[in-house]
Amino acid sequence: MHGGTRHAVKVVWAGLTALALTACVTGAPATDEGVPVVEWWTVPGHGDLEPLVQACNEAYDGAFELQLNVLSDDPVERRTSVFRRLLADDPQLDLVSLDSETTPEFARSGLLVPLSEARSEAVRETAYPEAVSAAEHEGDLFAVPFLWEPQLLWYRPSVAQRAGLDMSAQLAWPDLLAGAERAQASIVLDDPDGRVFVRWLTAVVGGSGAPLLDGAGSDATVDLDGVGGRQAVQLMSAYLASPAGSEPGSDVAERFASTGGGFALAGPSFIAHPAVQAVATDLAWAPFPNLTGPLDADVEPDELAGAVPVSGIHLAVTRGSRLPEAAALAVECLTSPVMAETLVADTGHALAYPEILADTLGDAYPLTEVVLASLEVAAPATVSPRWGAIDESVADTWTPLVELDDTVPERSQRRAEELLRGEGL
Amino acid sequence: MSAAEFPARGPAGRAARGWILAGPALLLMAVVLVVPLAVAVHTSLYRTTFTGPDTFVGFDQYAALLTSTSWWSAVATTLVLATAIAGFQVILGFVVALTMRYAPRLRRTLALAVLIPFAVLPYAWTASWFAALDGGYLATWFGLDELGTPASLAAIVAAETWRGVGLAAVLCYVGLHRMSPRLLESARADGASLRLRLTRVMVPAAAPALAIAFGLRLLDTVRLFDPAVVARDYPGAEQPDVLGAAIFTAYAERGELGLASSAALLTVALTGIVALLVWLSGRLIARLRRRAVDRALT
Repeated sequence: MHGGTRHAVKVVWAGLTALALTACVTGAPATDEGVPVVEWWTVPGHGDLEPLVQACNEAYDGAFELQLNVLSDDPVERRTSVFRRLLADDPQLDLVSLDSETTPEFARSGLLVPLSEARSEAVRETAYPEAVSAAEHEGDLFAVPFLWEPQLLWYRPSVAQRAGLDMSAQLAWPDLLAGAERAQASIVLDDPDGRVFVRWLTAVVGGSGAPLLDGAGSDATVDLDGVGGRQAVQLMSAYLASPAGSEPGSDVAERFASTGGGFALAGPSFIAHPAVQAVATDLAWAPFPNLTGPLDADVEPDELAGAVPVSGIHLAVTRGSRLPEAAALAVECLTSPVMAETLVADTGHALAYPEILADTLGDAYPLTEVVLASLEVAAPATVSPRWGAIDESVADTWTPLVELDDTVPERSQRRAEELLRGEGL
Repeated sequence: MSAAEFPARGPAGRAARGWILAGPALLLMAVVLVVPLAVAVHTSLYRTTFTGPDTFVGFDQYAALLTSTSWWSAVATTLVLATAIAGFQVILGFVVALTMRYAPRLRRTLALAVLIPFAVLPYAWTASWFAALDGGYLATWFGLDELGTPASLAAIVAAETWRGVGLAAVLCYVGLHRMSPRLLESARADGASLRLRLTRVMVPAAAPALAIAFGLRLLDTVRLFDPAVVARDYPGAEQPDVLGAAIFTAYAERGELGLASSAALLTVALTGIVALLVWLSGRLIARLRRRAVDRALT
């Protein structure tokens, strides 16, 4: 009897060891049916990506099982945590969504899996070239453009009419502000990702021609305290002081939909925000207002129209992933024309593929026309691995908003240079 | 080692024996201290980022830090906060020590009460102070609508003070204990009031201990870190850029390991300077006291 017990223990022990060994050898996690589980870490947004994930899982039946995870709301924290996890070859991170501003930095890090020759060619042919160049490094593509979106002006036609604004023409910011004040309506700035001020700067500085950042090394030049930078601060202070102004935030959709609401500056996914559905019958959109306005008399109005802030999301397969093939396949699905309708229906997001927008979606996506037109005159972030210095400097110096005064352009310039050159804490 | 080889008795032998017995411990301490410092010095000579290759820059990062406003503002913030915190700790600690000394029945309860905060997780106790001031019970008491700069600084100082009062009290208690009871008795016999006994006898007698307590608490508080991390979770709060937090951010959020190492080593130097100042002022206090005693005797 005694010997029997010992034997039983031995068998159990052997079984456990075998189990542990199998786990080590097979490594990659899989569902009960043996389908490899691809962990996708996404950037938080307004819409719901779950239906898209479900659709892809069904369409590629058995090839992969996408699991949705969400990264931090804060862009600086998001970039940092992704970097740390990539550096540690975290196997829980197969596929990651990258803010397009940070993509050049990640593409140079050696932490992502480059695309195959054939896939690169296909992506280069179909995606927006600006989105592609952000993911390029030494001839290879390290990420696939997913979303590429201009900022838009959202408005309630009833309020615009009361304000006496002609929304069919390109609107200038001073006219919009005056109109909103006349109609006693608010203009809200949507800030789902903490980049509202960088977008604002792009819209003002982009019009003046000089980029916010120029260069890829620590000797890159920054232009945060030029004419554009100073004007951006003045315009923002004037906006905050106006009765139509309020602090930007991630909850502005509610303010837009409430009785005092009238105008909002936000990305395409604003259309899918649950709070906005309450005013869906009184909702329209126009290109981003011309923020430069008459303050800069030397520049012709025609030259200013290009200042539409644009940003996007890239999808990248991580070096630490144990399922790079399955993850790459999932990316193919997520950016395919077949899935485009599911994506826009639930999230309102605009894909980074002009042909899909124009041909596949067409009327199925109400924003097609305005998105395509806006992207013609887009001003995306400089493709540089050093963009983080701009992001962090603006985050450091533009807030708290009560301290937003004429010293800010100079302070943000100094801070950005300090961060670029690694000369300060 | 045989008995014959062991250093002989006598003063010289005793010194040699001391070195032999303490040697291994000293060696271990040296290794534990020197190796990380050496690694830090090495990394501080390179510019590092998350992505790029490390580039050798020599002492450039030290020079850049010493001429940057962000470094000096962090130093100033840290020293101001640390001085305030250490000061409050010693004042409160002295009160606690007096109570423990002259109300023996309360001693145990009091010692427990002031030492418990030291055992609580730093993040937890700071967060509890922040929560109390951000719409919590303290906000109700003082009628605070939002957690502004004064309230968040008060939360930081209160949390850190609360943590260190116990240690400061123990140090002050030792100082009081060493004071000769005859001093107090003769003062009482001379008819000195309680106030006079406190200001003219007890505080001067405990002064060196108070100075040591203040110095030790100051050195400990320069490492201030948790409050800065907690403050980040409160959007309206003042975000103090104390050295610890700034160094952490440089490394963890920007990947600037070399710069963070340079700043950390400069902080070590700063701590050394503070320690030197504390030691010098301790000597000054002792000398002044001796002079006062001499004057009183002649």
